[in-house]
Amino acid sequence: MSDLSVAGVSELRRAFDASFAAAPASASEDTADLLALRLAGDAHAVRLEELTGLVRVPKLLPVPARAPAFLGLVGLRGLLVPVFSLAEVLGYPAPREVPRWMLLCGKSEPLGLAFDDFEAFLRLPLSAITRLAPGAQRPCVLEVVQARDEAKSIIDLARVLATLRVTPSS
Amino acid sequence: MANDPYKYFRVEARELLDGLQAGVLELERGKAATSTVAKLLRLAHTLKGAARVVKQARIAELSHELEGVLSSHREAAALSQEAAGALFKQLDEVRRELRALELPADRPAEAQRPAQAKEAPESIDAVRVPIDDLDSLLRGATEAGVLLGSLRRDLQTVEHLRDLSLMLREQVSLKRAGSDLVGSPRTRGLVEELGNQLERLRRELRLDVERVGNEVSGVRELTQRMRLVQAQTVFPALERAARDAAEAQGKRVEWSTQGGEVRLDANVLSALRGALLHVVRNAVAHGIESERERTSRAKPAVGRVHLTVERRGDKVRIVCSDDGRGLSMSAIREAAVRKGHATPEQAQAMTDRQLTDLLLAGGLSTADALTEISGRGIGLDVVRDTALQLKGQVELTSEPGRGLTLGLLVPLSIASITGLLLEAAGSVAVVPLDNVRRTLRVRPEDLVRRADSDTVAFEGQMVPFLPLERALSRGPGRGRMKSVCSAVVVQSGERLAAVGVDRLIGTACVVLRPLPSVIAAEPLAGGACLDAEGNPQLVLDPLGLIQAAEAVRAVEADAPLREKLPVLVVDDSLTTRMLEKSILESAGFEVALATSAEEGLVMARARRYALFMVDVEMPGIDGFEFVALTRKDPELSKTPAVLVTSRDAPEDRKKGELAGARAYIVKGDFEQGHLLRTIRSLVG
Repeated sequence: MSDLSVAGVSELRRAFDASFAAAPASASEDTADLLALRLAGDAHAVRLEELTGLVRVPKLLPVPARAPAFLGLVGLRGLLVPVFSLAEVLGYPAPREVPRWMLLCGKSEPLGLAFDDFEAFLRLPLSAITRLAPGAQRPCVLEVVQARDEAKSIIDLARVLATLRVTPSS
Repeated sequence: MANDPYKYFRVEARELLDGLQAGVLELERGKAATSTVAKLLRLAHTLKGAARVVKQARIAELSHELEGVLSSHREAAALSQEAAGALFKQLDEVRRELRALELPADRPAEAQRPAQAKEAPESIDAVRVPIDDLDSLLRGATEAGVLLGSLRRDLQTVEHLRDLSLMLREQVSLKRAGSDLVGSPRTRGLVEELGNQLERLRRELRLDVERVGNEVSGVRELTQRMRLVQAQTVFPALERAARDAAEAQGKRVEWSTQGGEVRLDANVLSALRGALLHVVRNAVAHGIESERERTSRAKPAVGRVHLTVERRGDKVRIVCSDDGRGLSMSAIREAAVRKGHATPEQAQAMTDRQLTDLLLAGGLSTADALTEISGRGIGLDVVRDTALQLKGQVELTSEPGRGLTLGLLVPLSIASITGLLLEAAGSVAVVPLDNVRRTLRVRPEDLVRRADSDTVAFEGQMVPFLPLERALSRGPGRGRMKSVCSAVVVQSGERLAAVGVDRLIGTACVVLRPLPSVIAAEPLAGGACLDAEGNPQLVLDPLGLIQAAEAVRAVEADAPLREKLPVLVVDDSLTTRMLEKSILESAGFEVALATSAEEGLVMARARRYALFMVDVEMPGIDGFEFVALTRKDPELSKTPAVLVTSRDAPEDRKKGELAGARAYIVKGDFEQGHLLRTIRSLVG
């Protein structure tokens, strides 16, 4: 401290205040924010911009219903939220236990997509994302991202929601 | 209303004037749609009609003039400044007339002083709030209730800490020999202070929690009350309909109402409004006779239409009665024969009540038939459909020559119902109390069991019996009923079913929420409500439940009976063994017990089991090894194995998975419903 001049201290203070005044760093046009998760051991990711939240699955009410992959209803901030198994939607076997986490999608009619293993938040350059060749695409997976030495399938949540919102007729 | 005959007129007229003013402004700015003038004409017309109802000739006259001016601009999308100015002057004139109708108490102080000619600012004593906003407020209050639940749990922790500190104080104060906790005076002082502080914290926290709880409930109740509106909100429109119908036919009608202060859900009132308009209009148009006819029948020349609204528990009864000609029963008889509902002899033998029931049932309800019957199109279709939509009832009483009374009994709110709370398979479900005929105690010997169904005798008839657990697809099937259970006899129309439950909890008023359409709920799932902690509870649909009970026959007749295998519980703890046994047995499973993995292996090789439910930590062979050993055995590996343990580390789960366990249930999260769901998903 004794080495710092008055001007140096002022500069430090200014920089300190400025760091609080500045807007939080946000994704630039060259990067993508992703949430890495695992489904039945396979690496996946979802785009953060498609989510309205990530929460632990609260007490779940099973309801007799015909929708595939439907796990039950939860109450969230006074709203009824239907919860589906994300793994099952993507063609994996039904989970043996109710998954612990859920992605919240949609604002006016929120919907939960439950999964078990949440890994990390990733901010990656867009160059890390590759669009799959048409033959390699799956209905809700069109892209992969290379991160942490493995390829993660990016789940297209808009397509997942579109699939779920087609109410089965019987 | 009696003290202030213009109370509602003022509110309506102000709204109409605001609408007119906004429209004229749009026209003046040249930004109006071509339909704007038509809309303004409607507003002016409504204002004229309403003013006539409350006998405000000057306002009616001004409104009529407004209509005239607007008509001359019918095709215009813009108005000149002069034309707009003339309209504004007219609107101001109406406002002045309106202000003269205010009660002294309503009037701002300046307005009461005649010397002050300048315009007094209008008081804003009410705001319009969209129902969606109220619902958001209600959700916020519900969320606050949930947070309060967590504060209550914190309070319990503080109470526990306080109790511990009291025990500690007792221990350190003991003078008894052998107590190793006897403290020094300083220790005792600190413990004393700790106890005092905890007690103070407990007291303050309790008071705060109670206070906040009261405030939150107050907000919830008020918000729910705000969703209710007074029945008399629709009275002016109904009176207007009666007046217009009378004027059109040259009749004279006296309109009266009672019970306008009764409040009901805005959605219910809105649905009723349309039906009541039909009822009132047609009571005048087709029920009330012409003045000449009435005089010739020695009736008062002025006809009478009376509307009564009364609250009956959580329902509201609305009755519209007139002193007109009533229904012609002979015409209904003729129509019944003509439509094939009865032979001439049967029709002749039918009572008036049976005939009106036939009318209400809709068999004769085409407009033609009604016209033929009595010359009155009483809009019964609309009324019946509205009642159906609101899950209400219609009643019709006619005294030929003396009048007709039409009653509608509907819920005060379609959002709020009184329900009976039931428990089955660890979950609470709600059935609307209105559909509960009775509750029963059912013993195994009361059930009449056949290969295809179970029925139980109720008031001289056999009704289908279905355990709720089964209806919710969480149960093991019909299973064996081991002891007495409670059953709820549910009724929908003439159909009945007895629904077996584990426990009846009591009644509660719940706010019914529709289920998200995306889940494609089965018909027995009628909706959901949130409990005090914000967790959802299923609201059962009575008809869906009865249909499910009736459908069991068909399903079970086709399904081959499967051998029922027991579950083998392997655990060295007596408590855990007995707890698991009781949970499984109460869910209809048969259970065998082994006190060690070694004993379990012997038992497993001796016979087949539906499932192995194994503790991890046991002396000798542990659970991981038991599972691994049984997975290696070609015969035993056909039986799924589940590990139940207090070890929650990811590596333990992984180890269980590698050993071949199909599920890993942590005792710390031990929850009956979850355990049973897991087991059922494996046993099938």
